[in-house]
Amino acid sequence: MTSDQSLRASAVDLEALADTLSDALAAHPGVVRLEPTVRSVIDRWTPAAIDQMHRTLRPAARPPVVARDGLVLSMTDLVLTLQIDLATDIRRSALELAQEAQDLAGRLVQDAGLTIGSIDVTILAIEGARTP
Amino acid sequence: MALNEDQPRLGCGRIIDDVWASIDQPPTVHEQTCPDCQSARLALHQLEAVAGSLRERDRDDPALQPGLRVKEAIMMVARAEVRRSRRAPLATTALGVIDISEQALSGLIRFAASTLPGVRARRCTISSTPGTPQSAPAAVDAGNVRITLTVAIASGVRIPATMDLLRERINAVVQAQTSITMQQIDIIVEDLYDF
Repeated sequence: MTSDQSLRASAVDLEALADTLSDALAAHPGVVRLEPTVRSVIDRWTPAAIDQMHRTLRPAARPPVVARDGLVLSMTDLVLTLQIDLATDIRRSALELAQEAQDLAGRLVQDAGLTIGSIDVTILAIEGARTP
Repeated sequence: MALNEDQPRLGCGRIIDDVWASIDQPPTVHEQTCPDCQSARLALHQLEAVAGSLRERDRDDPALQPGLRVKEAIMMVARAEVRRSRRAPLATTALGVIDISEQALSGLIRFAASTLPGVRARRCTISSTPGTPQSAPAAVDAGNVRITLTVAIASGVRIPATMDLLRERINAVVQAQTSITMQQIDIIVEDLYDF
């Protein structure tokens, strides 16, 4: 496998892992939402072809970065760095919830066979729960 | 060796794109006397007028307006970006750092204050330095959080007793949510309101 193929494969793996993390964290009790970023919204709007073009044009040395709402994953040499931005339900302790989110993400990253560099969590809002 | 050989040039040697780039400006000294540039500017003026007309039409074309979902997504990002202000570190675990944004902390304090009957929270500033609100340090010192909260209270409420309760309420809520223990809670009653 060439380094370019390896890079592309790891980027694909990150996409799948980002989706898994996004679904699991959003469903975690007490998480009101994962806060969107400019990057995650643009990525959502960008057609796959343009995304692929960006990936192709990206310099080989640059680590792959994948974003979802409230999530930024970057990987270097199979070591994953993850940033999570949360809005939490005021009926739960925000700090405890952030720790739970961190632990949950850690388990999912390990299940994916990746090494954890760091998982940082930022509480961006503490709000009332969503009404069904 | 000439650069930009692949770009069309006027007889005087200028690149047409350069003329286009300044089409909305008054003609330069060269353009005032150069027949090539004058001719090009005249032609480009017409193009600029057509392009401007198309831009205006697109601006009002309902089919080209962003949908509600797009607008809402943009506003969600805008609000989130505002929340990505200074942060206060809350804990460092084996996996990484957990912190809270100043905006989230400020909102929590205002919420805590508003749970007290007869109190309406207004502005909240967070500082780590006695006496002065922080202007720009990168992080809030979670071990030394000092706040100034302005409130309006209901007329008829006993202010000293209510302020004591308010301080207790803010400290309790912030402690329960974040483990931060406030070092100082200054409260300014800036208004009274009728029930």
